[in-house]
Amino acid sequence: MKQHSPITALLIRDIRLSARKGAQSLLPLVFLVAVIAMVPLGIGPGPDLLAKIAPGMIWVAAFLAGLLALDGLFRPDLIDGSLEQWWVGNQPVVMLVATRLFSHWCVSALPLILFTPIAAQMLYLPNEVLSLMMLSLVLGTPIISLVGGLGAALTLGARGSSALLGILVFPFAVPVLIFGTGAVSTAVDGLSSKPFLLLLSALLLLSITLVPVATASALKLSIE
Amino acid sequence: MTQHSIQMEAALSAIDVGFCRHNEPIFEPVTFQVAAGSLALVTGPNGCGKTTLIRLLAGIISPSHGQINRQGTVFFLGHLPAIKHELSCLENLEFARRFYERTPHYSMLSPHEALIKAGLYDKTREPAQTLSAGQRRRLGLSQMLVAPADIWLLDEPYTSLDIEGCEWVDALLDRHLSQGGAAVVTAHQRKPMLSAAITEVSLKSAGGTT
Repeated sequence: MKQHSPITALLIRDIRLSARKGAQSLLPLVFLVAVIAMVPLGIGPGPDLLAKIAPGMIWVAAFLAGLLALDGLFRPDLIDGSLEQWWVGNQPVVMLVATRLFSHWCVSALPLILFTPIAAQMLYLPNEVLSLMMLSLVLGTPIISLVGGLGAALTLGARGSSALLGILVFPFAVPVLIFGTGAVSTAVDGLSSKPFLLLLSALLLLSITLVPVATASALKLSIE
Repeated sequence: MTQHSIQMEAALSAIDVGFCRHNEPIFEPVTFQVAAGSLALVTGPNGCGKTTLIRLLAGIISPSHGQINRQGTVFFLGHLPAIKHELSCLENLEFARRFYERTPHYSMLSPHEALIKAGLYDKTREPAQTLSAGQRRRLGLSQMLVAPADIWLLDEPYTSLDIEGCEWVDALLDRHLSQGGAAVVTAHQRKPMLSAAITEVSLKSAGGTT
């Protein structure tokens, strides 16, 4: 019999559950597509204007789509009792939290990144900066998932926490939006985007190391 | 009853364990131990902290004071059976087997065998959503067959089970205890009917609230 660790077991089940839920898991992507499709209708289809606002629009849409998915991060597990099982015995809770955040990112953010080339075409984003746009999303969206995950864990016990969650996470996630948009906009203007990418990377490393530990503690408080 | 358990090492012991919520103690501090091969039945009126005590024993929450020692692996089944409604019965058990990562043991059943034992074999591929409350309980209990643990902590295992189901739980407990396992069970209606020794731990709520 092949031995599986709790971590791979959780990862496989999370992905399978998302596939089972279908439309609900695709909500962030649908949201992004809807926003990107509506921008030319609302602002006007002029290529020059659209190209100028494209990085910002894609980032704002990805940012809000990321916040949209956060409520489902730990709540279903709290409701059905799966969450408290993480603390039974000697499970590696911090690793389980990290796994959950990773699987959540795979389901909520990865489709958005894969859709970006099409979104870029819809908004006349210059082809030269497309790879940079995607790189900034690859660096930035995990930070939103991580910081959002901490917020989701903290508000788990509160009633009507969706609104609270948005308010809580928003200020912490704004730097990601600024650096992400900045990276692409400076490249469109012909300047170096390196400082922005480095800042994003620094934020990402910081949140990868600190957030799972803090989230595990916050979850523990919520299940007491 | 306690004579022969003295020689054996306690599988689970609680020494002066208490838990406070918002600085209010939930129940009066308890001290007891459960030897391998025996069962502790936690009794007490509603709201006296039976669930809190069993969650403390499982390690889900930490005691405000006192000490809990566990010798061996733990299986915990709470009010909520930790079952994913979107997954089939089989997928739920397969997850349990992998997640709890137990060393292979002769009493370990495959998910299929466990479903047969639980009387859910015809539901193998059905999503857990379609199960009745009693069947869901059976599925929850089946998790401890695919991932055997030394100590079973069962919070109201008889809830929503029919007579046959209750007898099944008793048989499982008897088998577990005869193999040298230990168990702590809370119950307020039906009590386990076993051949093994049962120690009763009666909880008194502190302060008299709720």
